[in-house]
Amino acid sequence: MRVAKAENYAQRIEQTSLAPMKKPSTAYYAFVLFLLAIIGWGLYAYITQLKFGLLMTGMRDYVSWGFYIFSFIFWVGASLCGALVSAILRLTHAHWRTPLTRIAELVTVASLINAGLMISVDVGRPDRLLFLFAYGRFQSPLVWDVIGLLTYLLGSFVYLYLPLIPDFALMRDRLKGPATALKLKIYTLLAVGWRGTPEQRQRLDKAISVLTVMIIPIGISMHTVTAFTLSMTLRPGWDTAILAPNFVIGALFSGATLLLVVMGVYRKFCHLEEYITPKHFRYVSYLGIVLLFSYLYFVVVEYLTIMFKLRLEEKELFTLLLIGPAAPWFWTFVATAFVLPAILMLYQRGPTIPRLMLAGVLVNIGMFIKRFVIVVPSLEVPLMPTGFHFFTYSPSWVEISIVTMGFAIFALILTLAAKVLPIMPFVEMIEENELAEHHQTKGDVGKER
Amino acid sequence: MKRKSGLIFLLPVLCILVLATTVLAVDEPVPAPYTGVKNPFAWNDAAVQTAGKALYRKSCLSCHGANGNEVIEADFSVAEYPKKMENNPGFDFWRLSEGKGEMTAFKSTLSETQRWQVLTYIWSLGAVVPETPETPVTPVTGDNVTSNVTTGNVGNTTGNVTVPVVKPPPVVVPPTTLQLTVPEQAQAGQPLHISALLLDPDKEPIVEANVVFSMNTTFLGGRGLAVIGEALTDEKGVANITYTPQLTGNIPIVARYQPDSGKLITTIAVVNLGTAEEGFYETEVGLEYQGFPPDLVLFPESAWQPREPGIAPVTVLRIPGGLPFIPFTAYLATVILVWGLYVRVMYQVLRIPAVGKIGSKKESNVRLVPAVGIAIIVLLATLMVSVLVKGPYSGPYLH
Repeated sequence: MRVAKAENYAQRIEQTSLAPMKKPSTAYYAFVLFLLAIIGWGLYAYITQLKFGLLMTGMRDYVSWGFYIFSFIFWVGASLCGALVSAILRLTHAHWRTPLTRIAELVTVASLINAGLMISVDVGRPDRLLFLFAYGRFQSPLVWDVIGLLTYLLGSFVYLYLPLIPDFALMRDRLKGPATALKLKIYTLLAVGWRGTPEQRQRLDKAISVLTVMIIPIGISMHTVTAFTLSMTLRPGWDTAILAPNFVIGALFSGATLLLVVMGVYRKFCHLEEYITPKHFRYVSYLGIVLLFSYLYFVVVEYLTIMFKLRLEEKELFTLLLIGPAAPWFWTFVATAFVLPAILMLYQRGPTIPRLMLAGVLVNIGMFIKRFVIVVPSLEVPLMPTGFHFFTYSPSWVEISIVTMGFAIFALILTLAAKVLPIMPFVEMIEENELAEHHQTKGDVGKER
Repeated sequence: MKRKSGLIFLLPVLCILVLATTVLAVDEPVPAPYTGVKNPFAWNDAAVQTAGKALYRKSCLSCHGANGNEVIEADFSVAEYPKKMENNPGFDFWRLSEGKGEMTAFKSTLSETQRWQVLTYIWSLGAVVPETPETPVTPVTGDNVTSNVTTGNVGNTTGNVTVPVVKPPPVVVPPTTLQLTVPEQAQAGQPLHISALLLDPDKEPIVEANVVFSMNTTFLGGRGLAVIGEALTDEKGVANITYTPQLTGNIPIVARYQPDSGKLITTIAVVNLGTAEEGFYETEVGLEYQGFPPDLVLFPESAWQPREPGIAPVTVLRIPGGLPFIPFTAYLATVILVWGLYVRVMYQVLRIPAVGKIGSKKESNVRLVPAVGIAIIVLLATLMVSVLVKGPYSGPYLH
């Protein structure tokens, strides 16, 4: 496909990639305004929370972690998307992933920003956030979490930035006419004098490959320490050694399926039909299927080992979870994260892209519910010798508004990114195309790179 | 040397240890320098007590509580305690000076005079005449199946079980009676049936009255009454609850009834909760190992002083020795390695413009982005390493 249209490929991809930066439509501005309105409402909710304290949330002394925390875990999970697609597939030389890498890295950065935001919002006294650095001690899993988050966030930023350097250089050179002076200056700064010489290429490749190897363990450790904040306690449901690997697999699962959704949206609105094809969706969905069954395996192992022994407090937890008040959520999770997506991904009938996007949306709804199922019912099981056995939690309007604001910020970052960044690594794609073309002219036909 | 990292989980265990060690220690003879020493002050000297009170609030309150009753086996609020002190002042002076088990030694932090001032104040805790001396209260006994009937106010504002001063019961017929029945022996983790019988002065049952049941419990180092349930009395005047306790030991159960008018009626009974096959959240925070390498702790002198509640401990530099040295250094090394690699990656970016030919004037700032990047990385890395190697510690947690 690429080879067949090679003559115009470079120009066309350049055009496609730069198009959104030149003339955003009215619909684009309307969408941004809509997102800003949601964010504005969320800010109002947050100011209310600042004014009256965490009393405005549904959290109380027994259930002290709620909507913010499981949103945080959700966003951390989504952030593993970048590590998976960019790094793992880069390491395995799966070249079909090239058009997806930028999108995956953007999802990672946007998710991590949201994760940090959710943690900050959960701190009822944000003026004391710095105490964590002033008085934190290494024994605390919360300190590990903060260190892990900062490390992964910085690594993801750099990992997003490095492959952008050649693209920035191209934009510096091509956008002279339509771009404003300020924009051009920023692109010039970010392009760090890139000319595409072999020495520059070598340095950049070296930096990227170091980071590619690093970002995978960092991503995994990020989610591991997130699980540690739960599993280092004696709470029923959290007190299990498998929780951390379970979180990692669950995160890869939700990250890969979130990618299906985001790449579908970009494909439609940035007109990337030529570059992101049903083949890409299928390949990502294969990953999704593998991860779905891995995650199912982990969940079954976790629940089976606990339920076989069924200690007192765990009996209460599973009563709550499987047949009690939390049961609707639990079974919705099973349906939307396992059953329906498995059917959608395995039975390849109907149009590929909407089918797989639907599967992605369902999995992410299911995984969001799963994070609720992990966090809240465990806290509702009483450990104190006290008479009231069920403390129920439901989020207040403040929490719902702020978490919705998180989703709006996620969408806003991705929307703005389409305007200021090339949404595909087009320099890399052009180079790969040239290489493929070169192979073809040398009679290397049919060999998939 | 004991790791303090999971302090929260250890505290209930510590409290049990304190009880155990103190019980064992009560009959020990007082060793040489402390044998036969006498309080240089009069026990009831108000000025000395005031001075002792200030010291007590600073050094003792966090464990023993404002009323001196938070460590059951060294309960200063009972009437026996001042008597015991008068008879054998050397014992308490010895304990205060040298410490024992979880009791801290104050020899180095309090002068001899100060120690006697504290003891004089402690004497006053038990010797204080109760606020409502006419109120008859029931002594807590360890083995009663059905406790004595009582009327009066033992509930106080802090919710602690104040073990009352034993006084001869006055020959007054109590107007309303509340009888509490608990099994003498029960198993933690198994349902425990608790019932209370509420009778009016004519021995007729009071129906539809709300009885609140509480249990003395330890949580996060604090002690107090936790409500375990409430029930309305039936036509026979009996209120029943079933509750599954998760504690072990001799646990006081308290039933309370607040009549529409008049005083709160309280009854206490003690249930012995046996250890279930499986322990309930009895955790330790690390293996006991005092070996190589030693703990490295650098701290200002002020860190030794016990802190007032609510005041953050002093930040000290600490590299743990013994077994935690391994995970600690592994963690520290990983953080330094990762952030060092970040610097290296950014350095590669910094060198990009140097090899390319930088043309026009407007490209003069091409190194700004990687330079700022390196600065941010170094700053964050320093912050994280500092969080790891330092921490808030004070007083007994320094070692």
